[in-house]
Amino acid sequence: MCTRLTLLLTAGAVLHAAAAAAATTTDEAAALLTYPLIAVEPANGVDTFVQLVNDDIAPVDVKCFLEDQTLQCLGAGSRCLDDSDCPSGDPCAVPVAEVVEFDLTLTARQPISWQALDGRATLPLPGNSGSIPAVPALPFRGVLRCMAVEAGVPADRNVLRGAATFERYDGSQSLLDRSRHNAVGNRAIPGASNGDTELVLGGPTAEYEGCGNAVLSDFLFDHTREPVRGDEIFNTLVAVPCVGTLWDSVPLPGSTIIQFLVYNEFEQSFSTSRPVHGQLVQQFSTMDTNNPQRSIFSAGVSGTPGGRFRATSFNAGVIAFAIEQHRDVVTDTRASAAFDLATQGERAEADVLTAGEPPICPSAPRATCKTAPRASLSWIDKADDEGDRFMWRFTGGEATSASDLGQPQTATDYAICVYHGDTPTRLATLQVPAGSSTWSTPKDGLRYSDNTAVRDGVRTIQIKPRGNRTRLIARGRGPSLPDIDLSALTAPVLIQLNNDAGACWQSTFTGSEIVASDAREFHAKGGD
Amino acid sequence: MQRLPLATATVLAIVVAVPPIARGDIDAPSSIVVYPKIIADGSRDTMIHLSNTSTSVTSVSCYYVNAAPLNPDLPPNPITNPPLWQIIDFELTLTARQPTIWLASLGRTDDATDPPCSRIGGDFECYGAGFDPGIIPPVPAGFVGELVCVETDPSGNPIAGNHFTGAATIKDISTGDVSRYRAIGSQGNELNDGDDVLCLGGAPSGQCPGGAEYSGCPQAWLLDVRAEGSEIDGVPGSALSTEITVVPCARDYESQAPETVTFQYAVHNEFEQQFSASQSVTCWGNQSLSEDIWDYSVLGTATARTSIRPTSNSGGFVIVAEEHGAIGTSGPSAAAALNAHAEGERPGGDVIRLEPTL
Repeated sequence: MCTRLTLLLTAGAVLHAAAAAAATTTDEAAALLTYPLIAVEPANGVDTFVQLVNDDIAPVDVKCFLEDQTLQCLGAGSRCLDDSDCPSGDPCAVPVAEVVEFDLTLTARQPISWQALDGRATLPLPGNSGSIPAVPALPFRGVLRCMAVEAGVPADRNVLRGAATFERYDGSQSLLDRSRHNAVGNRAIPGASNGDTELVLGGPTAEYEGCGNAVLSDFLFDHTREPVRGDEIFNTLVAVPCVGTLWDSVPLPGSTIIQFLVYNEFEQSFSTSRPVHGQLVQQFSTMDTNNPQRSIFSAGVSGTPGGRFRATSFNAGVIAFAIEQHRDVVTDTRASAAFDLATQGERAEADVLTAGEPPICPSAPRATCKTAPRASLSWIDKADDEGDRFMWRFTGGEATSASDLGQPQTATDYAICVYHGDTPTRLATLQVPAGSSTWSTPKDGLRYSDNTAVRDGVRTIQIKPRGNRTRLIARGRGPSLPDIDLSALTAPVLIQLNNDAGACWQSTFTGSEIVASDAREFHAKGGD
Repeated sequence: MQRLPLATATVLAIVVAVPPIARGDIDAPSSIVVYPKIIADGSRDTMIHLSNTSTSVTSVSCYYVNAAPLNPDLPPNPITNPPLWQIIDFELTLTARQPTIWLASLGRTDDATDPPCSRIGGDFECYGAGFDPGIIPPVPAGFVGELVCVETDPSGNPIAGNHFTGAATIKDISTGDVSRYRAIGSQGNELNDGDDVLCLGGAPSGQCPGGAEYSGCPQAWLLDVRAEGSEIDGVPGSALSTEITVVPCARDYESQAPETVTFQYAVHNEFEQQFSASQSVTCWGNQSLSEDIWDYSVLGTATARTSIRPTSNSGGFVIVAEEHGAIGTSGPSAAAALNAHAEGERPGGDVIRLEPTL
């Protein structure tokens, strides 16, 4: 029944150990999905068909963030796709960097789809809540991220899958072009979520599997003539950082730097790097030079048609896919094929994606806080939690204004945040919410008082601005105080009082400033 | 295109939860890479990418299986015009981190005098440039089928290096349209005994006394398809269709006996309605999802979640799909290949039997 044709050719080889397992996934359901590119370009006849699916037999609530990363002309401020859309000499360079947040519920095993241009005002079943907004303005290039939630907070349900199809139609040229790829997923680690808006991808305190240590792509070098029809090859890389703040009030696009190692078929390697701020959508052979013919991604440099790259990133991981384009050299029309990249390993460092309003105690301490030349911190953890105590003194600190204090009687929430280690790790969060019964404004400043200390053990906080100096004392006690493993504290120890008006006060205690530290007591005295 | 009849098509409203077990990562470099759909039939051709991600020289044994009908001038038919099931194998050696590419219809010669890229205006004619990894035979005319590559040591014994990635770009010769998918990987583990019986998933058994040597095939494939006949938004007169390519995970290159798999489709539309059907494929099947259960007039929604699961007594399989959009019968058309999502790992294993190493 079968016939066999055999060709044999062997050469020396060396056996190597298996590579590390990968992290992000394009072939399994996940709790966090990233669609690196949503494109709506009416002038080019481009729209994106988005698919989102719940794989579970139970409904799932989904929170999505549509990041507008469309560029604007630096001077004119109008939306643009490249410099040709801007007045002469005015570069297309500044991303809009706005976020539209929306929520929806998918019923059991429900697939949902929409055109990015239109969104979807109503979903089909009574069990569906929410709606999907159209892109906010045109042209549009952006990123869509969706995550499973429960009661509004991140949930460890790996039940979401998605895909994006880019469709381009030009009736005047009778041109139809379509390409599709899978959304990239980060799987949640069961039970790891702390429920705040900071999604920790990978690293020692991971809530989700991390982004890949490297992304890999097999490709035809740009400017190669493929052998079927002699069409010219181009490739476009789409990459987004695994970090950023997706908060519609104050969005902050993430940044990273991608380092490319490019290999040709002669065992030669080339390298270059490229920053990514928010989103990168760029032809391979323009990433390293203004002269694409001289790019390391060009066949003119590589000397071979086939290539592969291995891309690692600094600062933060990346999620990426690519689009292979074939240009008919006679008609100058292009056909496209999107493709997912392979991933290799998982980044050792954590990437933090803030999905909503950042927590008052972020996973990494706030960068710029008021400090004081004299400070002390005591934390006592008794076997009987009734005897637990905590006190922080902050004396002679930098000036505090009324606006720094906010309106804690009505609106401004506070929190005390404790970190330790050279790479500060959050150790404890003591929430101090706004409230008229606990917060008061005596003549000399601001005072929080709760004799029951039921809320995370905080009993009193006093902030006393005096001219260009500030004094702060915070005390806590009792069983509601978080149990800290004092024996595991590593210097430096850092404590902050933060509020959601953006102000913070901080003391840092180095190893030499720690007076006593064992499993039951911690005492430090120093400053700044 | 071969059309395989569906066994049943019913509407159900029962859903069953089956917790998936862990599975190897087909996103990552692997020891077995499968290209389920290689076309070189005169209307389309396939550019194949295969890369060694390791820092050492690495070898692979590759196998084409030609599933073109015996008589290419007649429609395929399992009885009167069955597939050829012709196996073509070849071995390659890739240098450290070497990528290589070839066109299925041309193959690649092993010629140290290959000319370097030559300039044509602003472009470069390069085919064949670079270190040749070995002799890659051109596929026979009219080829439709699969390609499987297995990582080996220099002697041809399978190893679990997990060093290979791959992709295939299918190109329409007349229109220039392209679609691309990633080869599907199966990762090897430290239990690989280097013999000619490759054990994919599953518990120890008579054929696989040491247990799984490679990650198993999925418990189910999940494919989110556009409804057949639905229109591309903003493109009047257009219609979408999808075809899937199915190949069994088990292969017997030693006895050359084709494997058969049977599987069930469970299709969910946006209204939480479920439809189902079942089907069998021997060796290689390429099927248009044109049955009623995917039809827009039946589904009533633009997309459908399609779960494709082997029956309890069937082996596993791998799939890729291609979505086709066309405007009328003579208007422009465009295809988009897609890799399906996978769910869990089959509890039962699958076995690939290679020809014994000489």
